[in-house]
Amino acid sequence: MLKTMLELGKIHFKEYTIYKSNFYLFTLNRIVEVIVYIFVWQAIYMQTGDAGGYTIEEMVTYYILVVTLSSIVLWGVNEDMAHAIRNGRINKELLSPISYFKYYFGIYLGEIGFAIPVSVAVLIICSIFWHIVLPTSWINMLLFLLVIVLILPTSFFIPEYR
Amino acid sequence: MSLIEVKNLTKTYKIIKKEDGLMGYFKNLIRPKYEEFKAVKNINFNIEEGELVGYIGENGAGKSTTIKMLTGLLTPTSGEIIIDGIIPYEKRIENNKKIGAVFGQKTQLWWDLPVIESFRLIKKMYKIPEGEYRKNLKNFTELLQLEDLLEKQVKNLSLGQKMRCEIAATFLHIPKIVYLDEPTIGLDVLVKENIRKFIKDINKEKKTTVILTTHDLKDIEDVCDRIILLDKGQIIYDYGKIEDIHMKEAELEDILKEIYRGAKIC
Repeated sequence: MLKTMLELGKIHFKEYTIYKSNFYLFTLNRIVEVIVYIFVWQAIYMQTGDAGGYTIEEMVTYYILVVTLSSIVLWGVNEDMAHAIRNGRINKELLSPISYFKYYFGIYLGEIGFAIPVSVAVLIICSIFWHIVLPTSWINMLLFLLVIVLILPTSFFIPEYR
Repeated sequence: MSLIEVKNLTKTYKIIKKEDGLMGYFKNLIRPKYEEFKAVKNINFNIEEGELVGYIGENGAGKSTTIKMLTGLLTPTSGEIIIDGIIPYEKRIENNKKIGAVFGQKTQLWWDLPVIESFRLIKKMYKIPEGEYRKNLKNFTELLQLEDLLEKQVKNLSLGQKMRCEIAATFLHIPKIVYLDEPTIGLDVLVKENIRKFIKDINKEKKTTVILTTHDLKDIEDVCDRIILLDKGQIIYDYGKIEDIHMKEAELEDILKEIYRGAKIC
């Protein structure tokens, strides 16, 4: 069954990436988001010189991570489902020989497969232009990575609200 | 025991009664009024393995609703459906493994990808053994002339090309039952003939049961060996064998017109 879900993910990933501009524009969109946040916070720091004890570098790092990770963790399949109901594609999906849940989990894997390279690209590009503050200890780093891994299945069950 | 058993099947839709104007819109939003619409009324029929059944009737007669109940997409309001020993809307996944369906021009193929990608996914989903998949694909490619289409993106295919691929995708796992809801709508004569011949050939070779809804009498004449005529949700005619109709030395079209007139439809 996992093979079928992976195959569904693969085909959905291919559909996403068939238009190269989809990838580039999505990445650009995220970077613009980072730039806007950073400008806002730079303006705040210029006025106040401080924000809750965090340095400007820490705040910039926080926003780069927020935007980078939101590409992955805020990705839900609820919009795909709503679209399928509206355009009648749900008939095809319900006639699949696998459950609706598994069908959409496969689709979700495909979306995550698309979102991860976007996030990595955003992170690399941002780290070229801004200094990213690393975690103070390896344990913090490992816990942070663990949270990311755990949030992937969680974000499938909890729809996004943006 | 028949392959498909339908007893006293009824489907009633609950529809919001719309009121005119902006006020009516808000009224509907807060306290909607519902009215009931019986799409299928107490129908009964049995279909045996290998039968080619034309399920016909006017627009809104209840054909698609019946097909959706048979596939398990809709749950009947009352009555009973047993498909190969199981109730489709209770065991949908189990039922899905045994059936194939085409719903008009709604594609089951992946729009932006080459046709072969959808076929590969179907192979995985239905767990078709590699050898059988290759054999079926080769066979269907020849019968439906798909050689030049397999590597093309679905969105770049014409309506006829798309439907030929759609039909191949539906039969790829050799389902026991195939529901074809107006598969030849909007297609040219040659593609229609190609599809009809394919359905007949597969039925002959694999004993696949086919239920076909169509408004094209040639589809019925060429493909079906039994017709069930539906009007306003009720079966008004269930003719056993199409040969019997021919024995009356009359054209199918004339007979259907007579049937329709008899039921005071037109």
